[in-house]
Amino acid sequence: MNSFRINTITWILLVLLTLFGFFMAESSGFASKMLVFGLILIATVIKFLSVGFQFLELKEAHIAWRILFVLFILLFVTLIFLLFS
Amino acid sequence: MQQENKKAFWYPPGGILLWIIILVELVTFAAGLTIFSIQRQANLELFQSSGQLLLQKIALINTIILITGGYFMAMSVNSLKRADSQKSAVWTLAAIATGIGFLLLKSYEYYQKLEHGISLDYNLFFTFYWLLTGFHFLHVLIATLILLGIYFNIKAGKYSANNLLDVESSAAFWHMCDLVWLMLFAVIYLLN
Repeated sequence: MNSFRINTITWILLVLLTLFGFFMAESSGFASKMLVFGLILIATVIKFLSVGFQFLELKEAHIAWRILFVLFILLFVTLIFLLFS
Repeated sequence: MQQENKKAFWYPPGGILLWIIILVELVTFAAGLTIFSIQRQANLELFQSSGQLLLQKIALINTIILITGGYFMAMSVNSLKRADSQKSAVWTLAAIATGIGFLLLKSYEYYQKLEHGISLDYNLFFTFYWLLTGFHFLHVLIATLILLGIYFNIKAGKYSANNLLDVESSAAFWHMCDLVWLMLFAVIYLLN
């Protein structure tokens, strides 16, 4: 698959995840608060990694940058989840 | 050869200097949002009631605008790699348009807040809101201006498939604005 097509698929995924996160936050009555927080943060992690690895071309970078990037967002959302729960 | 270079630690896409800036910016905003979350625990009612005053739908549209701008810029870099500078210029111009769109919509949000007397010292929640989103606003403004310069340089034929570090660096700065906004959007607008 060429990079143009992968970029387009990534963009569609990002928009869908953004809408998903928004509607989860808006209609949080259907599930527990913790579940909603968790799902919003998981969607945020996927979006963050998609922008980083595909648009920022981190997938072509040295493995140390990739590990640092993944560790950063995982640490951040874990901290936020704990502080919000 | 360029691909091989990128594999090396010192040559991430966009250059090592920009990646140091990206990391510093991400850590700074993450620290700000962590302090925001700690303060939220201590002032839960205030933060929740203040959060009701935010315009979530505008933030949603702005998120989609920024993501779309990131997509346009990624397409611009890819077009230049394929030696298609004409398409690269068009994609860059489209990314600039999304930057302007974001800034205009955000300005409307700020105007609406100020009209209701909600400024930096309104309460603790809005101090965080203005500082965090305000600094991000400045980053998007700078990124849009940088892309404008890149656009004119692409049009002038200054870049090629073998000479695109400036374009990659500018695109990386643009994507950093995306990344920071994804964190702000999740914590300030959705979770709160």
